[in-house]
Amino acid sequence: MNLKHNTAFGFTFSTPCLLFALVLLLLSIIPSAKIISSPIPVMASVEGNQESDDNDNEENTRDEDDEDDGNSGDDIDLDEMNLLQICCAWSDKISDGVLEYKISDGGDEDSKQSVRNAIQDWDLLIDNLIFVEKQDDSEADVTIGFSDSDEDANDEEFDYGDSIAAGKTEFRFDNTGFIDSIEVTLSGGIFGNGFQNSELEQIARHEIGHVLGLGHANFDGSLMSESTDGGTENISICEINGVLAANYWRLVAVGNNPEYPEANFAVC
Amino acid sequence: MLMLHSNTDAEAGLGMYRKMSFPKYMAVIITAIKNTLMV
Repeated sequence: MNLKHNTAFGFTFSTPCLLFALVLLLLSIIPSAKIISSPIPVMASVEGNQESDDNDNEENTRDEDDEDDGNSGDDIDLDEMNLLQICCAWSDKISDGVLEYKISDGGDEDSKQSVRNAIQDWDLLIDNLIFVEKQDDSEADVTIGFSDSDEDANDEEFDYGDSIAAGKTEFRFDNTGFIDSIEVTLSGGIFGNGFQNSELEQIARHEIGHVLGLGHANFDGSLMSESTDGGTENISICEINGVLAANYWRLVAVGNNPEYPEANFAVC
Repeated sequence: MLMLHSNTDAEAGLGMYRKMSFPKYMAVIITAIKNTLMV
């Protein structure tokens, strides 16, 4: 029996067309999906904020889960792939489509403008979410500050040996594991090294990537690479994909109920 | 060299692979392209 018409999707399909479309769909699913996800809730590891020393144990746990889940047959060498970590999703604080931020005192006006420029770059590329700067003293979802004190220079989290710590993003999660608030600290010149405004803008762009739910890239040349030699990496489609996947519930589905990220990496 | 830090760095764990559901994946890609084109 010929299926002459199928208008369920607003198109007209003959049977051969339908079969051909199904084959294309299956082919596209199997080899080319570019966003991959953890078999365990990604937030489970985020909530604990484990230190890197715990990574081996974490990986072992995930490997076991992977085998149990029947996914070990994928045989994909992740070390050879350019990956961008997808960290976590915002709570219902952004269910109104607004992410409030506040730039605290401490930086000069040029530095503050560099931060605003970085935020605007993201704002233009992420639909269904707008950044609103708060000028009063009330709490904001994201607080961005500057540091040039020796106190931070002695902080273990800024200690990278010969390298310069340029920015830091600290997440606070609610009791369900969604992002509740974030504090970003940008270096105004700790260790005696001041940054040009263009450098500060790039550092801020990177940290805002974290604010939007991204982790780090495992390759050089990305905005979200863990280190930079002063390049001018811009926001790529890979970072946009990652942010959308992290906060899918709001940025794509435009829903009201937070959901954990289904994916934990985007392939760049 | 500048180091850029967040307190979620430790959750790297590259030991797993599973695809995002295809409808969501396609929705992400389409939305990303749409957002990019609108700039």
